[in-house]
Amino acid sequence: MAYDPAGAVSEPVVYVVDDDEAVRDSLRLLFRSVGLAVKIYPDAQSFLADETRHRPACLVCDVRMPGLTGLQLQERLEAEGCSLPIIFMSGHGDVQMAIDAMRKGAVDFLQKPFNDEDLLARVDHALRAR
Amino acid sequence: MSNDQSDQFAREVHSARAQFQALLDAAVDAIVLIDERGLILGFNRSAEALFGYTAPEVIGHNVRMLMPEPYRAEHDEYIQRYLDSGEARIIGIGREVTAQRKDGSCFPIDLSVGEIADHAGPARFVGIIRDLTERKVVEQEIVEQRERLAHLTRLGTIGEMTTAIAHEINQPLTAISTYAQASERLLRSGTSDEAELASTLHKIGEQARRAGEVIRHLRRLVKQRDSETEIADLNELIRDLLHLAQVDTRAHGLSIRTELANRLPLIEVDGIQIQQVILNLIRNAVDAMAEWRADDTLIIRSAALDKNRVEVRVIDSGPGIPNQVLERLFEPFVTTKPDGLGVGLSICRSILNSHGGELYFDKNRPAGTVARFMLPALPEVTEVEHGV
Repeated sequence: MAYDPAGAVSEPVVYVVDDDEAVRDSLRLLFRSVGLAVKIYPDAQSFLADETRHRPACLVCDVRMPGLTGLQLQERLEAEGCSLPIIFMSGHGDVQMAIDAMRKGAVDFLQKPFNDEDLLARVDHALRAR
Repeated sequence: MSNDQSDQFAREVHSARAQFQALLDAAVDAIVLIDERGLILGFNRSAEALFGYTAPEVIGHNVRMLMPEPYRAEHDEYIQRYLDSGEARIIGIGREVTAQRKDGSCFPIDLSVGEIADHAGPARFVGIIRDLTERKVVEQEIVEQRERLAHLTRLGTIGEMTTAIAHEINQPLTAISTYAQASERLLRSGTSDEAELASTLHKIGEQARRAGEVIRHLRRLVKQRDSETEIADLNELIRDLLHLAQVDTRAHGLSIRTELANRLPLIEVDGIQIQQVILNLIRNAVDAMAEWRADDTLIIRSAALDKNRVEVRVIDSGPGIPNQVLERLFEPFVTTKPDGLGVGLSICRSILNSHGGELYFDKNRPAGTVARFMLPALPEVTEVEHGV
């Protein structure tokens, strides 16, 4: 995993991983509307394949996706020793899944559709925390 | 001939007539005798009860009066054609036709016609008529009951898909909500650009329609309806169902590959019921592949088997059906699913059988199950058939 050598001083980036094109596109617009840099990925594999990950950063990720699920992506990142803060989004009130994700270190869990204030506050918190 | 002999002969003729009339009147079926011009010579009691005419009202009149159009206008021709060519459409065969009562109402009958072999005189015919009204009512009741059960099973199938359907509607709602909130922020901050706002509004509209589309497909399947047959293209039925089926497969991280024949002969079916069968087979495949799978693709294939039959295959790469389950697959209330009722496949088979079709399950190589069903196809050119 390659980190931006400029590290902590570079502009924060929000990574969005969601298999739904419209959800990705709308999140890009939302983060742009508050002046945050965004990169979007249609699945966990393409996110993992992207070598140019920046810091500080935060990952906003759907739980249920074909291929690798959100929780599997979390495990992969952990195995790589990557401590990227993760905010999970889920369409279902899947309590067990949320508990598992949080236990493994996810910073937050949001149910779709969410309030923009809630998401932005959590992203802001995640970016400041690291 | 002496007077005695003549009297004796007259008595015998009279006695034979009386016996004949008694036989006619004792018959449960309606019996109508006509001559070669179609004029009614005899009309038994059952015929009187069935048609509402008394014998004197019809004797000497053309038998046409007992039929609705178009048979009424064509009946003389039928007789003439038979007398000229010996070409029989109904004589010695029997078939279902429609009859008309005195009050003008029509009813289905089974009519068999025999020619009275009497070489001395002109041709005469005897028609034996059985009222099919009751049988038709029973047949209709069976069709209605099957549809009621099919409808309940469809509701059950949709019930199994609730989570997936909720997810599918939730995604466009999330996009709509996020687009709207982002646009509001851009507007308030004064950094919005008109073209971008217009494009975002357009996307919001698209997403709303996308959610509506899921509901539209669902509504067709859950609606209370009467069973009705239509002429359909099997490929179209599959394509129309695909949207809903993909909701299910996507939720399980699976995808569907369709391998549809270029051109299929048409079928005459209850389209919703056939779609229900396909959806049920897909659901079973999804459940199997959720347990274990060799790959993530579920295949739906259509083919013309020959001129007379079309086939659909739903192929999964799941764990396959254990032999002991395979034997009891179609028994109602036998299920391997924790929340399944076990009526899915038995109603699938009942639907297919009522369409003259069949349902089979085979092992797929290297892994999984092939569910395949066949349906009779309509002939390429529909022949126009004439009566009698």
